Amino acid sequence: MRAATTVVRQKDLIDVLLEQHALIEELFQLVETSRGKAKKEAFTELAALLQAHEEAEAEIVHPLAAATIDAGIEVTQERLEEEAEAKELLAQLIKSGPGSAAFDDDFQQLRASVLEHAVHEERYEFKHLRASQPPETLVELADKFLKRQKRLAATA
Amino acid sequence: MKLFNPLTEKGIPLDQHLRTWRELDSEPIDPDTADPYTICRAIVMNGIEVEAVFFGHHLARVCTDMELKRELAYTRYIEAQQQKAVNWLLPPIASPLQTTIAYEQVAVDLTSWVARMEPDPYLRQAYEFGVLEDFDHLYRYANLFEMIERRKAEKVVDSLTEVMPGRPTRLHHRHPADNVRDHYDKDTANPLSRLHALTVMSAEQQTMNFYMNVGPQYMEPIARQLYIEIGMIEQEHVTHYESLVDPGETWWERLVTHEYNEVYLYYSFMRQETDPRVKAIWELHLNMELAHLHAACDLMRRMDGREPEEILPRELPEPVKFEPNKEFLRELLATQIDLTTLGTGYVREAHERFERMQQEINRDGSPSEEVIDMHGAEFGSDYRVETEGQHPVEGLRQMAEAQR
Repeated sequence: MRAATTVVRQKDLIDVLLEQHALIEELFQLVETSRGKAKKEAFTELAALLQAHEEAEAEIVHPLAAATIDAGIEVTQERLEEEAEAKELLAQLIKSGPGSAAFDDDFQQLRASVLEHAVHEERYEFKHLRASQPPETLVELADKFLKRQKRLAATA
Repeated sequence: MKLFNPLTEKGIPLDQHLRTWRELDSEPIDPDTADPYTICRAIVMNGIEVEAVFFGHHLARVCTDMELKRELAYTRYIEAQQQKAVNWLLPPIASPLQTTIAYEQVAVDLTSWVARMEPDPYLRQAYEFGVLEDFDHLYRYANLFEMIERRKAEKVVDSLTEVMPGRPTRLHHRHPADNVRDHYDKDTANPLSRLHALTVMSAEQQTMNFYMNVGPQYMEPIARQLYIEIGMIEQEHVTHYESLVDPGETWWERLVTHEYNEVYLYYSFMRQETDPRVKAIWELHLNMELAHLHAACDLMRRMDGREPEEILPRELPEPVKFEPNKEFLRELLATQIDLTTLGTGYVREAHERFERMQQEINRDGSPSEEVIDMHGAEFGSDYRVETEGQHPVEGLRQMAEAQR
């Protein structure tokens, strides 16, 4: 068998992105099922994560995909458009806040848009990056991505 | 309440069954808000429709009467439309591996239900034996899921089904000759036994189809290899369950059994469904299947000169239900985990033919073991959902695993 021994693989960029996608899904659910202060807190956490995640992706992940995967420019252009749409929805939601009348409906729209976007990234970008990039590059990029996110969060 | 009798209910006339592309493109279930058992019901009915289509094709291939062939082609086309409407309910947002976990949840909770309801002890044993294997597949795939997609199977099964080791997957590879069971006797079998065998066979067959097609979509070697290993076991399971069916049944009585079973299952799931939109699909298909059943009954009378009532239940059996089977499974784990098969029966000792097969097939390791080792190396221990306390088998408790 090709992988006969058990080696611990180092966490790479794709692992980090998938973990954050899973966390985003969980936070969406938490906002939906919480009330009052808890809902507000969960939403603040989700909004911060979404902003830092998307921004770091736009700086690190999409340019790499555009340059290295087949039809990369077209594929990433569509992702950027989806992100722009989500960004706008998120800005509206931050403005209106979890207490407002339209929040729940708008929040559903954001959730659908973000989760669909995440699936597109996983299918059309991440899978191809795993195949095209040397493992050590992806491990280095994991570190770079997390550091960039930290800096973005600090200046937000 | 008036009893539902499939033989007297009319349903929708056959010439009104065609649907447009748009009607067939069912709006998918949202996996984050749905009852996991709604997805399970869709997976079962897809498997049932796939079997209906393939059974129909095999029947057509041995049918020499042109007029009859045309008649069968029409209902088969409708069954194929139903398959689309049902399978298109599955969430596109779910990855193939996430859907795989739902397939295993189906295998666990559907087979458990069937085992609990099966009147014939030999057939019940076949389901009890098989379910402990699918239970272990769920555990292996759940570990793969966290490792390569960073998500937890708990989100998919929602604590309705536990995730922990069953009969270890590497021990499921028996010599093919030992997967052939004795069949029920068509002249004396309880009609419910026929329906059970067909249902579980169809579900396992679709699982086999699914794994053989989605497995190569993964690029991680461990994922590719695990799909091969478990895919081969699903093929063993199809052999195991299909051999329970009496091969002496005529094509026409088999057709009647297929259609009756579809009515029975759509009726069952319509009764249980919590999502009104999905419930409407089960109801529509139930009404179509009633017409298919009547057509099949006419064919059996015409071709075999027999009455379908000879082989069908006198009244519709208790509806099939998706519900947790945790205690039932824990009892099986405690008492049947070390079984294997020899000829058409079951034994506890690893016999010579089994040992030889094991040595051949597992000689350079087993992906189902490796996935757990890899998960342990990365996350510190294996992934489980044990809602009812520790594993009933001492050697399979998590502490023992973590200390290994």
